[in-house]
Amino acid sequence: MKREDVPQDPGSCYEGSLRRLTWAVGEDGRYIGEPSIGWEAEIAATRVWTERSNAAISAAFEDARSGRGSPLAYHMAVQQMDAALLAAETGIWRWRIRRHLRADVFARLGPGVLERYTDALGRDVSALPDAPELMALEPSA
Amino acid sequence: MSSFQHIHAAHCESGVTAALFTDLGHPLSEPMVFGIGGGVFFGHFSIVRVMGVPLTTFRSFPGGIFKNACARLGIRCRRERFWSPRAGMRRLDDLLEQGQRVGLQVNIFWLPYIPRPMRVHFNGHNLVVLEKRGTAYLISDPVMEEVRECPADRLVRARFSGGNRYLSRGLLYTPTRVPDTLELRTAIRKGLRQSCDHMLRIPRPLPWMGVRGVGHLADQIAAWPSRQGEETARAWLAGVVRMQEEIGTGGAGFRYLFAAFLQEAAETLGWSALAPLSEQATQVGDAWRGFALHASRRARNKPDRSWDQLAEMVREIGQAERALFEALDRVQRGGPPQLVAVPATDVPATDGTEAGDALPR
Repeated sequence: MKREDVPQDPGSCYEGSLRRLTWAVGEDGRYIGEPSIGWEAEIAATRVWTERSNAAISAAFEDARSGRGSPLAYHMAVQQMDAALLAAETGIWRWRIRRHLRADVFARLGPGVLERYTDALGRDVSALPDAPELMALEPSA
Repeated sequence: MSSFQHIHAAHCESGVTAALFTDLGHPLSEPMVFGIGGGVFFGHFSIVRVMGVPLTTFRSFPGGIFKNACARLGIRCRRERFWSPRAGMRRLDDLLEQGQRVGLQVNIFWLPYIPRPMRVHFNGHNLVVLEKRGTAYLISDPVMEEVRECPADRLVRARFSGGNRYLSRGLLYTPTRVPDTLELRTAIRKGLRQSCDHMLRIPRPLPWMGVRGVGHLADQIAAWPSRQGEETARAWLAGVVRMQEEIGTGGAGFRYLFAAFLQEAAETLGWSALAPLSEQATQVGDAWRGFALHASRRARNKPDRSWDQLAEMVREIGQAERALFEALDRVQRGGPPQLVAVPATDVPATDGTEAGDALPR
């Protein structure tokens, strides 16, 4: 890729907070690092991923609010954690975490387990916000 | 305290390593460190899932670039891991108090200055801690354009994250003793040797790594839509593009960075046989970029290539990578280059710039 061909497409998730260094061939034929604000392909790929994450967050939120699932599932979705990762973070067994995704089981949890979840997820797991915390599709800056 | 030169780099680990070496009076470029550390690689692991997406990697295992670069350049280094977060933070504070700049391997998810869609649970992100300021740390993260601050509580989480917990465990590293002159020739040779070994000589029963891994990815891509359904297949394809471009690879999944290394090595050593290989690596990179562009359109459900065509593109890239590394292998063993023609793809290299208006929004 030539230096002048380094894409500067607007709309990346990091636009305004950082530019990404891309290595490209300069006019003299030598490689040089050129900062880029974004590229169509990666913007699209990240968007697919963000939309998928947001769909999971929304679904978990609706489940938690209607009582079909526990708030834990929602907070895990927000923090991009699955049961395996949360098990590694907390030391709680995976099958127990999966059980805690059920609203009725979750409601009976003692303060000790809740605190471990709160520590690992960095947020109060028993509370549910008014609206799901979705990732912005457009750059915030 | 002497001033620290923040380096804006494409890739975290090669950037951190280059910055630490530069700080000790040996200014090496990011591509040079990347190549000497043997950073280039390929792997596609269908059974390893990261947030439900198969793992694709274009680089060697995290931590290897610093370790290998030190060993090959004759630089003594310290690498410490900790069982207890408190001990790990105390050690970090002690080293900072001695005026050292400390490299850390962390989980990128917990770093507050990273844009949210880029924050995934990946334990192999690298940064340099410059000093402690009250309850925050001053951080030179090569992915960022300038020095940032990170609160102590977030840094603890980042260093001691449970995900693949044996990978990071608070790993900190610093170069400790540096020779007066760096023996670049042997270091570069060793880096080239490792790259060729890892791309060409992965044992038969492991078809997921090296140039054969690229062919494996091609087979997988062709099979995804019928096996997983169109929607999952699109998400997985987006995952490949993200690993290739989004995570800070310098473009084309580190292939441009590698090409830059070959070029610089050719110049520093006067090893002219490497120069055409750098151009060949650039072409391989351009082919990856072309694939990423069409793959991302397919992922966004605005396809301009069929699944089979995408798989075929990857297969051709695999052949091009094989040709590149076989030629490189002959050169690093001291033979003539004997260039093999790169199979032409139907993608013009400038496609990425013209295509900006094609993105629907």
